[in-house]
Parts: sequence; C-alpha cells; structure tokens
Amino acid sequence: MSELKPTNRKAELLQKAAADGHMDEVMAMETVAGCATTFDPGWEVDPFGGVASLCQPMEADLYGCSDPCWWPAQVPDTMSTYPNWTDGKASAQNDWRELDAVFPKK
Amino acid sequence: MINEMPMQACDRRLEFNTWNGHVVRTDGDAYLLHVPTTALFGVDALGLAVIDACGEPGGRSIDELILQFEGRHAPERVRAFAGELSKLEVLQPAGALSAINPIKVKVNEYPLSTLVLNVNTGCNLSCTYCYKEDLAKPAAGKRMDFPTAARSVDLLLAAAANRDRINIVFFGGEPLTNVPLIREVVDYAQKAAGIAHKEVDFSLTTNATLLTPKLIDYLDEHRFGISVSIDGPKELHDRHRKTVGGRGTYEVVARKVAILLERYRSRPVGARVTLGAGNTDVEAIHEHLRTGMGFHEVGYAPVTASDVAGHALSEQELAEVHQAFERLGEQYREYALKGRNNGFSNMHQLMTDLHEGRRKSLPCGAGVGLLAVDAAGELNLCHRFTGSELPTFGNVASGIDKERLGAFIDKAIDREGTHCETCRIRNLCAGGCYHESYARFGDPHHRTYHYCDLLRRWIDFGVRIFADIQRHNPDFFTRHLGPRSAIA
Repeated sequence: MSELKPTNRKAELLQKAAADGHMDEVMAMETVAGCATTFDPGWEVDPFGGVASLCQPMEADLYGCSDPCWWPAQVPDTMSTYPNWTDGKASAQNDWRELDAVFPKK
Repeated sequence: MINEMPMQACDRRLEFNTWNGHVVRTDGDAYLLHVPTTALFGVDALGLAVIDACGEPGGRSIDELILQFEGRHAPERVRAFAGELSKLEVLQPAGALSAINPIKVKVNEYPLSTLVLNVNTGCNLSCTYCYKEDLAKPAAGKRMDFPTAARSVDLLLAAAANRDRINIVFFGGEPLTNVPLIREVVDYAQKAAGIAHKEVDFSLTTNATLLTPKLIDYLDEHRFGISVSIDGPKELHDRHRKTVGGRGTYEVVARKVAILLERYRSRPVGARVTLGAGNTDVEAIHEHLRTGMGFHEVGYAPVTASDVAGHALSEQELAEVHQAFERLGEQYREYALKGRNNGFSNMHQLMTDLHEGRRKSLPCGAGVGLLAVDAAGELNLCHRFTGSELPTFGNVASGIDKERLGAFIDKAIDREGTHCETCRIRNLCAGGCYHESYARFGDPHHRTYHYCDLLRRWIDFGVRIFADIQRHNPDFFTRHLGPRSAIA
C-alpha cells in the first residue's frame, strides 16, 4: 500500500501484513482490557492504562517525572533547568542508557 | 477473502462503504479510519477525490475515475489507490455493501488479571449519586472476612496462571473502613504470589476522609495505586459528596489530599470525578484538581443513568460536558505539542486506543480479565454490580461459573440486530458500559444508545487531535504512551 500513509501502529501492521499476505491476522487482532473508558464511567478501578501501572517499569514514567515536574524523583527538571536533557533520546525505554547525569550550573 | 486483491473489471462500479471506512478531515488534511481494524491512514488529495467520487450514489468504476482525474492524476496511481481501498473493503462493488465484523469468537478461557474485593459495603459518606445498591451506613456494612479474601486471592492466582502480574483492588463502600482486612490480604497475597512467581499490585479507590499519615505510609510502602474520589472545588464537590448527616465533605477531603500528595512517593495519585447533576464545569474542576491540588491525572465519569431521579446529568448537561471535554482536549493537544501531558485521563485513554489502533469486541474487561468479589464470596461482573440483582457468576469457594459467564460474554459480543453492527465506532466503544445499561435499562446487554452521537463526535474529535499530535510531535506518544502500551 503506497497511497495510504499509516498514522497509527495498527495501520503500520496492516500495511506490512497486506504486503506479506497476512492481512487476516491483523484483522483478527483485538484487545480486551480495562474499563469502558472512552466516554463513560468506570474510572474507579483502572489497573491497565491508569494509575496502577504508571511507574512500572521505571522507564514508563521517567519523562513524566522530568517534564511536568510533578513528582519529586531524582530526575533533572526539563521544564526550566535542563530543557535539553532528553534531546535525541525520545524513548526512555530504549534510550535510557544515553541519559546522562547533570550538574548544577555555577 | 480480504487478503487477496478482489478481481474487478475496470467497468465495475465501486462504492465507498461508510460502514468500513470513515473519513475525518482536519485543517487541510484528511484521515481514513479503517473501521474493522482501527487502523488510521493519512489520505492525500487523490485519495480524498477517489473516496468522494465513490461516495456518491452508485459509485464509480475505475475507468470513470481515470477519466475524471485525467491530466491531474496518473491512471496507474488511480488504479493502485482504488485497489488498496478495495483490499481494505472500504470500496466494495456498488449495491453489495457489507459491514465487516469479526467472526464471533467463543470465550472459554477467563485469564483473570484483576480481582476487586468489596471489603465493606459500609461507607462513612452518603453521596447522592452513588450507584452502589449494597451501600450501607458504616455500622450496618457487610464486611468481607479473611477466609473469603484468601480464597479470592487463591482463585485469582489460579486463573492468572499464565500471567506474570496480578492486580488486587480494594473497593467498598469505603475500603478504608476495613483496613485490618486490607493488611491481612496484602500479607497473604504477597506470600502466595511469591510462591507462584508472580508480582502482585494493589490499588484502591477512596474518599480520602479516613487517611492518616501512618496509613498513607503503609500504603506507600506497599506501592498501592490510589485514586481519590473528589469532585472539584468546594461548591461543586459538596453538591453531591456529603456525610451521612448531609454535610459537605470538601474541607476534610482537601486537608487529607494535601497530606497524601505530600507524603506519597511510590506512585502518582489520580483523582476520579463523578459528574452528577449540576456539575458540568469540567475545566474549572480540572484546574482545581490538577493545578491547584496537584493530582497527577484526573478522570471524569459522567452519570448518565441513576436510580435516584435528579442526580444524573440531563441531556443538555451531558452536551455541555462533551463541549467542555473538547475544550480540555484542545488543551491536551497544546500541552502535547510542547511534549507535556495535561493530565486529562479520558483524553489520554482515547489517544492510547487510537495510537495502538485497538479493536474491541467487548466494551471492557469485566467478566474476562476482571471480576469482583462481594462479602459472601460471590463473583460479580465488576465492582459496580456487587449487591445488584444481576445473578452472580460463581463463588470464590466453588469457582467461576464458566457456563453462565460464557453465555453473558457471548451475548455481549454478538452485535447482530443492534445498531452497533454498522456503527463506525463499533470497535472502540463496543456497546458501552454494562452497568450504565443495567442502571438505565435494566439490561446489561442493552447498548448505551443514549449517547451514541456524542461518543461518535468524541472519537472524531480524538482522531483529529491524535493526527495533529502525531504529525507535529510524534515523540509525545513514544514518551507518554509507548512504554506502557501492549504492542512493543
């Protein structure tokens, strides 16, 4: 498929599958998870996409700690002091080895 | 079938099938939502022109399309594009349109990951909109005993044999009215999970009034995921969230939340807002809870069905809530373009679904990945159903009633004869919350038709925002969704 430009992950999978002749497999993929969360209730418990799974693994919310600065973790604050700390390291999951220590500026 | 290019003569007319393809336009761009899979594609000018032409009654043949775009688009591109859309069954032979729905699957396995323990039906508050049919005053609350709780943990561990991680959720009533049991369950579950080589996560939802520094430290030590039920600024919160004696609870909740957020280290704390009658100013609530109080994220549950008249949102109010959601969603986009998250949970959840391209046959995991246990050990679909008249699905002593649960799930999957069969958001909404339908229509399988239009608009809105963020700052999703998502 060349004229359609994949915009989400499923589209990428579907495009690859179409090229390999495995489209049925992607068509059959489905998710059963969490609560009916799109517009309706069920916020009381949400161990899947919500509060309960946020910090695991640590990489999952590393940037959450540094971006909005809401969490007192030992992570450089990218909001005001070290705005470039994560440049070129978009994925905490894959690039965590690249993330360096910072030192107070004199 | 779908994995083969359909043979089509060039003079055969093709029609755009809105049951399988849905076009969302943004400023200057267009996106095609492939309804059967939730794949989302960017569509260029040629694509849009083909879709528009084939969308006219009777459709177009490939020869006609080539002729129509002569001089503007090369014939081979027109042919290729029509071929791609046919493969996706978004274009189908005129007069023979059909909605693609998944082959009905029989659910036989119940690989639970989560069990909700209703540790006490008693609550020290008496919120007007509370849906709990088994809610009781603290003295009259039915408390779960330890043997029942221990059997629940055993059942969960057995049912989750193939999982590395289990979740135990403490619910009520107010769960913190039964802290001794919570402590016993934590000890027991950690030992039992250790033997089974599994990790165990705990979470609870609380009205915060009974929190103390010592209790907070205990929860912190055991990495509880905590959600606080709070409705916003004082005048909004006190409208529905009252003590048994009828007084507002804002002051005490705000005081406890300050202590909680100051001390809690192990996990971010979320707020859960119930939007009942009169409470539609979502932006003010969000500002108050997120910026003012410092909650990490805030989720909103509009009450659209209630046993007690006058506590649910009216149709007009629901529309107001939807508009406010869109404004807060616009703010989500502004933040996301700067690489930040504004903490609007509902929006974040929708972005996650769209980013993955999730296709759901069932609206939620209730009855498949999650069950709720009441004081008697009976297994309920979810925490909302404990104490209701809906028959239960077994008991922690005797096990899951697979036959009854299977029949329930089969019925929920079956879209035949419902409006969902051809709906463009059928694989994102999947019919809506069982409990909403149960409360409103007395039937958990009744589809939540009362907000279909709003939900379709909400998802179109989400597609626009998603596409915009994906285009201008795709790193946002890598950072904020990526590591948590199901597809690595």
